[in-house]
Amino acid sequence: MLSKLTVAEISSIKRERERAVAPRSAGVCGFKKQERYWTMKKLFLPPLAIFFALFLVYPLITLLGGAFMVEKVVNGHAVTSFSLDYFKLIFENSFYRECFTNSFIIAVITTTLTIALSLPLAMLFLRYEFPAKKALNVLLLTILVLPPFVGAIGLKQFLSRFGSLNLLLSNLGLVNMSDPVDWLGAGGFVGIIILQVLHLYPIMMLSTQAALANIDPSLRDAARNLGAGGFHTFRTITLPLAMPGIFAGSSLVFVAAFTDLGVPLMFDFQATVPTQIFNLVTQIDNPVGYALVVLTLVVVSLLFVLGKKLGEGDYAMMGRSSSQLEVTTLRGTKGLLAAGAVGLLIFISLLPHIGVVIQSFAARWFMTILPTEWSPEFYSEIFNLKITVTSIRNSLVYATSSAVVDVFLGMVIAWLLVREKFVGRTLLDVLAMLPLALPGLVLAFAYFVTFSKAPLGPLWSEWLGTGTTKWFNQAWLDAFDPRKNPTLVLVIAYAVHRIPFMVRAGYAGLQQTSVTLEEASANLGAGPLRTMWRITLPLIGANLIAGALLTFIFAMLDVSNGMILTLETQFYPLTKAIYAVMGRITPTAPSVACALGVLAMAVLAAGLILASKLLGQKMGRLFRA
Amino acid sequence: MKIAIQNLVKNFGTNRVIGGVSLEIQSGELFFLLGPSGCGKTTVLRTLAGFYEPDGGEVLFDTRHMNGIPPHERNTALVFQNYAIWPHLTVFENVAYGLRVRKVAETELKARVLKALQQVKMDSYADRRPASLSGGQQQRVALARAMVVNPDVLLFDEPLSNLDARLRLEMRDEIKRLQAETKITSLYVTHDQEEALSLASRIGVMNKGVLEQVGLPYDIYNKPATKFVASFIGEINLLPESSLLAQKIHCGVGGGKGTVGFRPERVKLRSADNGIAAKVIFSAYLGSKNEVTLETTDGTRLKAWLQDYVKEGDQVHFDVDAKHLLQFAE
Repeated sequence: MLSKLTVAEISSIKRERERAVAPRSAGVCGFKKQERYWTMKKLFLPPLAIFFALFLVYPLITLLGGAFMVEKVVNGHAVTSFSLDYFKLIFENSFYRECFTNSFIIAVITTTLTIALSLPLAMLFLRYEFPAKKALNVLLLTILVLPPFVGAIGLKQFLSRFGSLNLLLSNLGLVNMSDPVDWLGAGGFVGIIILQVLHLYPIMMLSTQAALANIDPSLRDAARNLGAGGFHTFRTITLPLAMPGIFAGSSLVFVAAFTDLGVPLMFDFQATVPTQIFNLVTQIDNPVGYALVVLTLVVVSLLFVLGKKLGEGDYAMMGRSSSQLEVTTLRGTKGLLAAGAVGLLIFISLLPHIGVVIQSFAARWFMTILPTEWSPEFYSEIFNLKITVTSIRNSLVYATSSAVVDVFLGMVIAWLLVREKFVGRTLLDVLAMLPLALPGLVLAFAYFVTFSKAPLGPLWSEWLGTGTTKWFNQAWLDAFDPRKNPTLVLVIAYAVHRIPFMVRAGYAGLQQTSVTLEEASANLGAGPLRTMWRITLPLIGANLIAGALLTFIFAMLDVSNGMILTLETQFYPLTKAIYAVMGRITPTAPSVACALGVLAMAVLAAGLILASKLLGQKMGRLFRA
Repeated sequence: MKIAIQNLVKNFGTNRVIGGVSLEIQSGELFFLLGPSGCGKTTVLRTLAGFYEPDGGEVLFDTRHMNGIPPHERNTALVFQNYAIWPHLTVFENVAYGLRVRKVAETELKARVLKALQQVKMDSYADRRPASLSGGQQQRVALARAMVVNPDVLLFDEPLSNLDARLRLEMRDEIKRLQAETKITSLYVTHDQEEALSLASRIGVMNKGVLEQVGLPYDIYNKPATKFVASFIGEINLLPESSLLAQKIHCGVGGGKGTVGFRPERVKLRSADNGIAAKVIFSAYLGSKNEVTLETTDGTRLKAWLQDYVKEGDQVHFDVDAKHLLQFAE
């Protein structure tokens, strides 16, 4: 190739060789050289360490301290020592035991049902083409954004003893209104499960679908070629290969169902762990709350260890064959049947929120199947009320900021975990996954006590000497104090809470991307940051955007962080504004709250459709010719 | 650029993958590491590229110590076994990548990328996405991507193993031609002996993490240093030196504890009083040669590639020229 090069070319080649090869400083050789090169580890581990220490470890220590350190009076002196007294208190209390049982049953049933729903759904969407598939897919994603705690208002309106369903059935003569059916079951227990399943199965489906899509079609073809039937291939090849994805989805769903506060609260179902923790949050000095939180952590961590063990299939598809997944088009009746089945499922999933929409227009709705008086006035009301307008703006700012923070954190952490070996790798993994085990209200509570009671000052001055106290009473520290301005702490709370989602998204993407693609870049002279920017990021960009989307959505709809961390109306996020409006005693309050809920859903759905379009195009550009 | 590998050791966990390999690759040489899968040859190559840090020993490029230098500071260009063509970049951008890293001006970059693509006959695909390319085409792009940056060292990691036979022959010639033109010091890792014999300036045969022999292709085939080399490259008949048959062939010399060997093509038919009696039990006539299996009176089976035409069941007499006998200590 060099044989016919011009003089100019040769000289430029020389120059670039010098650039690429010349040692950065003269003389030094051998092992010491390593010290001079920036690696991703050196660049990102220190800031990550500071971040996690400040926003995860420190608040958690405060929590654990509250749960395990018991103050006793010994010989007239107050002595603080390690003790399990508060846990004994919980286990001896039959009500708290019941709370644990309830939460566990809710989570197990929810997870099982979501798997059963999402597996056939994922296969259908992956392998078949049928009428209205794209629209149905968008609708499925929309279910994700619909806040279940708002949906609870609608579901209650339909399924309560004197709700629409019983009234309808009574009109048909099937139900006697003097003894109406309790559809929500045991004080709302069944209702909670219904809402959780209807809300969470799309997450499971996304996870399952991603796992299925990443299975090299030739692996299935090989099984078919060796004589395995359709179901046998599914059982022996497809399912085992998709298992890591299914386990990943399961652990997300389980924890979401176990720790969800909004739904039980809206059903006023007190006997669950989250509701009890929430009740105890307001009593900052009551140690039972701390202990309850720690117990929840134990349950959820055990589950994650199990899920990680089971999900640890290393199926990185090296040298994946270029054969494309074959999509069968379902025609005629079959196609309509598929579209109809998916449509019906989506309709049922949307029912609670349809109830919310109806409620938002209902000027009068009492003991009737549908409202007797309708009015659009509640929508103009939310644009006139200062509290609602401000809350919408606040939520957009909080959610966007936390999504941006998370894209960065997720990408870097996932990369370090998948591609690098270093001391403390397991610790980073645990730290990055830990927030999954922290219900929103726990983290929020920890932040609140940590940063408002003692915004860094006392801790540092204790370590560094009292003379340094004044350094830590500076005005910039007010940024950390949620009592003065909760924005920073709230954004970080949202971000930290969703780090696991981002890391999982990045992790999955990286595992499915052959490392040789990055090695080829380094081999051609690109430094670590350039390789990350030009190769890694575009390759797993779809995963990251999907992850950031989830962060945004969850931040928009998170109940607990906003509830606890914002004190003044001007900082309220959307969800707290809905609660605040619901709490008003006026008869139209539910309708105004629902109108705000509908607005939120509309904004989110619009954002989601936009992002899905963006993602669809990008995916198309990324991986198709 | 001369490469010196001095007493290289690499462990994966408790598993010693390379147990002290020393090797010098001269400037401009196309050096082959040949060995069965799992012998550590790819590990040597990846250590040169900087993806593995040695657990012992040193790697030098000319006089420069390479231990601890990250991959992107080495100016080696690796042609990956699975091509590692970036799916999100066009063919042009894949090839241009290394030049962009080196901040080559746009006009010159375009010219060089197109020239490189021409060299591998892929210039008409410049704007295509890799997903629409066949394996052979992807491999050509990978080759262009590696050569276009004028690396100090070219590394080939079994680059032809995923191609079909015809394409493999074509690419083999292509690689030989490009390497001869550019004179870039190259290390080529393969388990395909034909590839190695036909392309290499010199060959190093590896087994279980150590180098068994380094030499010219001719010497590797005709003067294998060990039994492993003899049986890994080409076909060979091996007999214990103590056996009666070995002594017959060996003209009475030996009776020692070693092994004697000879290639099938060294077996010649002789007249009845001048050779060893054997029966043809298998014969495959290939035109240029006749591949047969002989069974001697003591039941030993030998492979022979004959110019003469014999049928299964024929009684023949054969011998091997003493100068073509190979002796191994074990």
